[in-house]
Amino acid sequence: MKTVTFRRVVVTGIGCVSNLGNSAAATWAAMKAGKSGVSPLTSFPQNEDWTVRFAGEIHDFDPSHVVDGREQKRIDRVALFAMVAAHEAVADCGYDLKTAGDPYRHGTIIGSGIGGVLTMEDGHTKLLQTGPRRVSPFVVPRLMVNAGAGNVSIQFNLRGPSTAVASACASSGHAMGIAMQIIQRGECDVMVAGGAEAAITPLTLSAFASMKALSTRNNDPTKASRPFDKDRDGFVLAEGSAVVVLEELEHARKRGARIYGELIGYGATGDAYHIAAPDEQGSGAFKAMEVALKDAEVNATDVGYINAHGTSTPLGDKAEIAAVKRLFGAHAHKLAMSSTKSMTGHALGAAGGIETIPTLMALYEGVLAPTINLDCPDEGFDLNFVPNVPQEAKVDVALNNTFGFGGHNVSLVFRRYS
Amino acid sequence: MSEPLPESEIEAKVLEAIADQLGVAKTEITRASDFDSICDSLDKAELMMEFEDLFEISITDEAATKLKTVADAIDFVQRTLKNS
Repeated sequence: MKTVTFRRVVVTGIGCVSNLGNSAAATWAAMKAGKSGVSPLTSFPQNEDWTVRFAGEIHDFDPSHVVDGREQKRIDRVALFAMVAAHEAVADCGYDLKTAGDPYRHGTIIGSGIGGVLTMEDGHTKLLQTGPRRVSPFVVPRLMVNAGAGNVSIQFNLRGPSTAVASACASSGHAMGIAMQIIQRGECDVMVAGGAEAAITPLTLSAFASMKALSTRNNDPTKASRPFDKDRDGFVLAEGSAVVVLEELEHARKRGARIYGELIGYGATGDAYHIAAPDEQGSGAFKAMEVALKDAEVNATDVGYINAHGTSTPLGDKAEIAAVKRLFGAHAHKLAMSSTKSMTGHALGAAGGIETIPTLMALYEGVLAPTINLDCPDEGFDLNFVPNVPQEAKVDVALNNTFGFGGHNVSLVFRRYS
Repeated sequence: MSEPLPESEIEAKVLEAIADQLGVAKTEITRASDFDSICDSLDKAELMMEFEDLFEISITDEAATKLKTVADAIDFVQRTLKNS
């Protein structure tokens, strides 16, 4: 039987496209400033029939520095987000993946909850209007959920494992966790991993609204995403991408790479409960965190910060807090847990990627991003949610939680590298 | 269609549509350009639809297969318009 000696995995590059900024640095700066990226919706016209008329849209997105005009026509917004985030992450890591090393030891996993739904809707409209012979040949390569991974692999000549994960809002978490394992096991030295979403479309928005999953605070969009607050009324649909470069520790050390932090644990569970509602006690979330800490070989008391899934839905936030309290016991009141979705809204399959930035920065910079709009925590919500303003703290171990419809739970454990 | 388009106008429109679709300068596309060398099969399929819309004609898959060069496409459009 094959014996595997696990190798260590570090983060050497970060890239992000969000409604807070078109780079990881800009996104992080806005988070520290407690800014909201939520605004009145502009992507498509809406009348009074629409119960939700705002979102976390990215305005003025221009991928031209990464993808030329011709290629842009062949790629959906969701994969363009991924390519721009990957471009930044790879440049940031300082290792030229296109030319250095063995391309079969470089891979990618890019998650997405929904994939190219903009293309799906446009293509379907065209089909109904003009019939089957006018459906663009680019519809399939644009809409497929693995388009992000496929395009990123081409972008950087990544010839190792290249795949996508679709587990709704946990997609990025799974992507990074599985990528970590691939490096740990020795199959690859570098993995470009993360997630992307571009699903602020008529169909998606109306469907989430029909589920009563979204906030309807139309008169005050920047205050709509309010995780843990007693007046929270649902999540805010957002879009974007974040991608990280995961690298085997010795590979990174040899080339003197900057290391943002070490990815040391991955816990994934399924609720097996309800397709769109969390188990009220958060047992799946509890177990994901427990498994992740065990995988990381750290104690619960080592954890200083949790970047919560915290979507601002009444049930979801409650379940996550219950899970954290049960797992951490008295230590739950010593650690800090914030939800940066209070600022970005909920970018579904991209959320875990975007939230890796503040998780890493808690370790790397010693600054905890706040939970904004937290005016009055709900009953029994008595943890340090880093309300409204950032906090400084020396954090050794941090968790990044993501949970998705379908009952998918992922917890990633990062450690400060020194 | 009342007046058939003159060949020069068809040519200009075809060249413009190709350049636009492929995101290149119009000067890079000539009558002699070979579809296989300027684009892939997906681009070509999309271009055929573009020509269909532009000239309000129909291009069957069999006909499209025979259009190897830009000149073939221009001639095809002209012939089709003349016969319509």
